[in-house]
Amino acid sequence: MIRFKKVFLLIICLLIITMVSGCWDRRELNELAIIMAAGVDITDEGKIELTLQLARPLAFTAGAPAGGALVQKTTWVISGAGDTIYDAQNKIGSEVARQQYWSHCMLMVFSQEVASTKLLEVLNFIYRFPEPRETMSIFVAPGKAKDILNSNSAIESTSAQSLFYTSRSKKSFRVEFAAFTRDFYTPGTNAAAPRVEELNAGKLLGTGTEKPPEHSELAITGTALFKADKFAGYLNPRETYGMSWLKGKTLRRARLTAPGLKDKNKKIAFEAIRNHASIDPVYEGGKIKFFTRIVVEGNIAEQQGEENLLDLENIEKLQESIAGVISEQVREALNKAKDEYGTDVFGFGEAFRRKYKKEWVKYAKNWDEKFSESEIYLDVDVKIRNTGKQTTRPLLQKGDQRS
Amino acid sequence: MLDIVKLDGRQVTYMLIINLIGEGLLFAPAASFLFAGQDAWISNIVALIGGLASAFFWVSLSRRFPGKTSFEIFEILFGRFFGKIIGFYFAWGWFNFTCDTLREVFSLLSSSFMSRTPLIVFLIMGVILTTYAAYSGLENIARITQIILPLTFGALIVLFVLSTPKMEFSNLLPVLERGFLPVFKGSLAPMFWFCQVIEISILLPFLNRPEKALGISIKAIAFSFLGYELVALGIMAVLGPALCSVTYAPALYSSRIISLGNVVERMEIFIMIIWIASGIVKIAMYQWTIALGSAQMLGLKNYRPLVVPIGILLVSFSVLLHPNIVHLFDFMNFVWGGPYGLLYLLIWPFLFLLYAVVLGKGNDQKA
Repeated sequence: MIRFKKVFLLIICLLIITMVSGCWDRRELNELAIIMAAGVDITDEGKIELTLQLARPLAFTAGAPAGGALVQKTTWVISGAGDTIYDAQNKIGSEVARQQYWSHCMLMVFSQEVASTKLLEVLNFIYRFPEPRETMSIFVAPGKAKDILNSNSAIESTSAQSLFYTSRSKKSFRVEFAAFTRDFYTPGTNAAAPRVEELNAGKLLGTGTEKPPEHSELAITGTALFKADKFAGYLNPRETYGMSWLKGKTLRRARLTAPGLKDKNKKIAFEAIRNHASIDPVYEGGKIKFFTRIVVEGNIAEQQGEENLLDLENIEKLQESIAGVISEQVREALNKAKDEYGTDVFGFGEAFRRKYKKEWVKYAKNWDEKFSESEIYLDVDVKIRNTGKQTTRPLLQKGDQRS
Repeated sequence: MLDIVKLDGRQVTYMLIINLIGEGLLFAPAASFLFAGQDAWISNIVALIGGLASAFFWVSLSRRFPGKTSFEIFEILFGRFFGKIIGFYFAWGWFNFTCDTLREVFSLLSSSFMSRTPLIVFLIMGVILTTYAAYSGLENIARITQIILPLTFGALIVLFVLSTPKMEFSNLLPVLERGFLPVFKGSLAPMFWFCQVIEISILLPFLNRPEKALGISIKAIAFSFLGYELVALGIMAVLGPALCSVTYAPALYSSRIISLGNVVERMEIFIMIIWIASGIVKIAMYQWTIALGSAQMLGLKNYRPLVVPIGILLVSFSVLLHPNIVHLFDFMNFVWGGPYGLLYLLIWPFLFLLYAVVLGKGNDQKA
């Protein structure tokens, strides 16, 4: 009996060794081509073109190059076309020596062309294939996604990291794949994704013997809106703020400028820390009204005018002034999305569906048209929590004062 | 008695809980999400009723025949010949379900993590472990359970807490959007898993205080219900109804989305660990049950010689029964979690109990 157990234990140990090492599915780090970012375009023949930004480990480990030494590119951008994403990746696979590894892919860029014609077909790959993470960020590029990936960053090793960190800092609207697909498939709301562009970012310091090279950096310049599975249009950064307030997405470090109290031209800078939004639909005789309430908390960051911020009344007036700016931004976003593009990216339809599940059945098919006819009432509540280091601005008490 | 051990109430409770949540917690919600959408949590409440009924039937039946497992009870109730037929019918049910469980535990591993490894390798590994456990006897299985179950529940709660930043509880509204029928349809799969409390009919003779059996089963069902609700509410809040209903294992995919401070990420491995651990314990318990039941029916003095052959059959049948994961998913959630499974676990015990009460068989005083 004891002997049997020993033999048994030995067999188990041997089997555990094979099991733990992963056998058929083992992946050695030095045999992987790690995908940093992926982009999808459509070729002239109508095929799907996948572009991958692969990390080049050799360049990462090289350390700081001595002055004038050749700086190796840290990434390799490679494209392949096919009928499906998988097929396109297969084409790339014939050129890349290593096995491509999706798990570290931080973002996926769709060109506007893909977004307006083939998004439904393309999205499935990420959700079905086990490797890509649902936490990857989604972007839409007005031009070619390929060009977006084929860029450098002055401050990060790869442009993918740079773009990902920019979006992660929540300075603007950002969407993860999981939330994107959720909005994409949920009735009563539509998906939105940030728009990415390559902007000129001045000149990098050259070596002195040559002309300093022009540098361009990836930037988030607004939001792309969808209507069902088709691209509908863009919001500019200001309208993106408006949309974010309404969606209740937290914009960490969202900055606002509001007119001052004494002099409209002397501005107040406000930094939002937290925001929250709620939508309350009211259905009366075939008419839909939405009462939305937006609460924004934040701090005063800058004061150009000479208001006395120690006065609570002034604070209240400032809050109203900032609320005015926010509702203006929201109105602008609504005008664009609701009236111009006719798409509900804010989840009004969802709120309606939740409250009036019976009435919703009537509008489920053509909600976006119905949404354009609905009335929306805004109630913005701004709460100033802090005013920075200073209580109020010191008064300039010199001979001839400016009024 | 072929395995002379006495288990205390806590051990049996733990074994029943791991039996109920084992792999079902990760697979069964997919069926409720598919039918009931955001109302899956109501489906679980409906399912709870079925589970409690099943527990009541089995415990009352077993309590009429103290010291007998259900396989022996069948023979007393229906005579040697028909009793054996019913016994084999149930042994086959148990065996069939164990095959499916085995296949289920590892086919997700192979579909989501290690797609190139042949499934049979996982199955053989798993069955070697369960065979070892089943061979070692009931007490050892009970002790493993005492280690694994707290880990399972702990990991479940940790994952729930970690997902809270991504939760939007408005996903759970509107309640009963498409009426009550989808909710009922969605309740069948979790009901089947709750009804697996049938294991109490095997464990009861080994329980040191049999009079507590009903309380123990109810406690086990209540705890598993808690686990199911945690999954149904948490995952629905994270993923939303549209995505929940189209994945094989919603818990696995919602744990992939966890991202806390850009450091705590890729938590799906925890789901996989608790899944495989509790799945293995469950399979071991069932393998022991099948061996014990077969030995009792065949009149053997020891169940141990049957453990290894059953293990071999488990591997081969779990490969043979299902050609692919779609077939497995359908069979698990709509055949087991439907007429086939509920006939075994809810209808038959009711009829058996009725038969025993009407004919006045067994000891009907509840001492």
